[in-house]
Amino acid sequence: MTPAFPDVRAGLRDAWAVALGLVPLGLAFGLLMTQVGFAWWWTPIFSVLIYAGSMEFLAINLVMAGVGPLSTALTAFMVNFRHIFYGLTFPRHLVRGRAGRAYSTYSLTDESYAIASAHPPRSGTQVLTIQLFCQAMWVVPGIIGALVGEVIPAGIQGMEFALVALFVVLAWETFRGSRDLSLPLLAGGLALVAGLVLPGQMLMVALSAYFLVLVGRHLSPALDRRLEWRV
Amino acid sequence: MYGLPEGVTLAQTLAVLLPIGVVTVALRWLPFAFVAALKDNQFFDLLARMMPVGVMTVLVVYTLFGQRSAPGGLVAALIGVAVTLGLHAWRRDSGLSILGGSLAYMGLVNLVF
Repeated sequence: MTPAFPDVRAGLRDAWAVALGLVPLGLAFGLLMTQVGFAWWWTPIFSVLIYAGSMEFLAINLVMAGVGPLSTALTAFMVNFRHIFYGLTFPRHLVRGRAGRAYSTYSLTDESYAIASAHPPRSGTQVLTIQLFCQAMWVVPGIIGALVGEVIPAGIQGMEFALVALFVVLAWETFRGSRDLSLPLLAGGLALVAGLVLPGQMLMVALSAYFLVLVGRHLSPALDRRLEWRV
Repeated sequence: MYGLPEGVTLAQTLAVLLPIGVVTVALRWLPFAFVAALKDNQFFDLLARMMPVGVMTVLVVYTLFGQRSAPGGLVAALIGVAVTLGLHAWRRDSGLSILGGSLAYMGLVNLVF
């Protein structure tokens, strides 16, 4: 058996750069939580029950808007759907024991997937070190941000714009995966129509409609070719 | 009550947190249970390619709709988006783009509008 300590060190070495990138977002999330009116300790509850950064930000909106569980579940399914691909190549098999594997599955975020893909871990200890470190670097800054948010006055407006900016950046980054301009145009158009016609159900309607368009593109290659607009 | 924002109930909060938590873990777990069904499946390949950018675009529009009632309205929000995009095109540093775009927006709504 290999000693655990070098694997822990290797895990930290591989993870620190990506995990450090989580700190400003974690701070912003905590700050927003208390500015909106949650007590600081709700921040770690959000981050443990959900543990998916962009979805946690969005959850603040959904709670404030009083969105029901079904719409919420569908939104979570669409927003986090990408996670379904991570497990196909993530080295969870290196982790021994049920509890370890359960944690490894639960904490399979964009970041831990990206780290394990860039630096294939050698052992389960290394895998778990990466995942635990990433979660710590998300939850702890969240708490710090929330505590800061409790002491600064609530008069400063517009902090919630961080969520818009986050999705703008994510849209840009995910666009690079296909470079097909028809995708953001279709999605943006559907969202606009849904928002104007059915403002109360905007997210669910827009996401379902977009999903149906993709089903159509899959079933009809001719439609897919007609819509495609690569840049 | 329960450290929640005014007008928000505990039931309302859990009705959002629990479904998201369950769905997220289920999505992370599915590939381990159904590797064979998901690997090299054409429909899943298409979804992997096309779904993320569309979902993120929907979320941009959705969050922008929420900004309409804020001071400065859509104009300030669209300027914020433009600053975010400009910064991202320039440096491609996500943290910088989000921070810069948000600060620009906050400057607008607190000082200008």
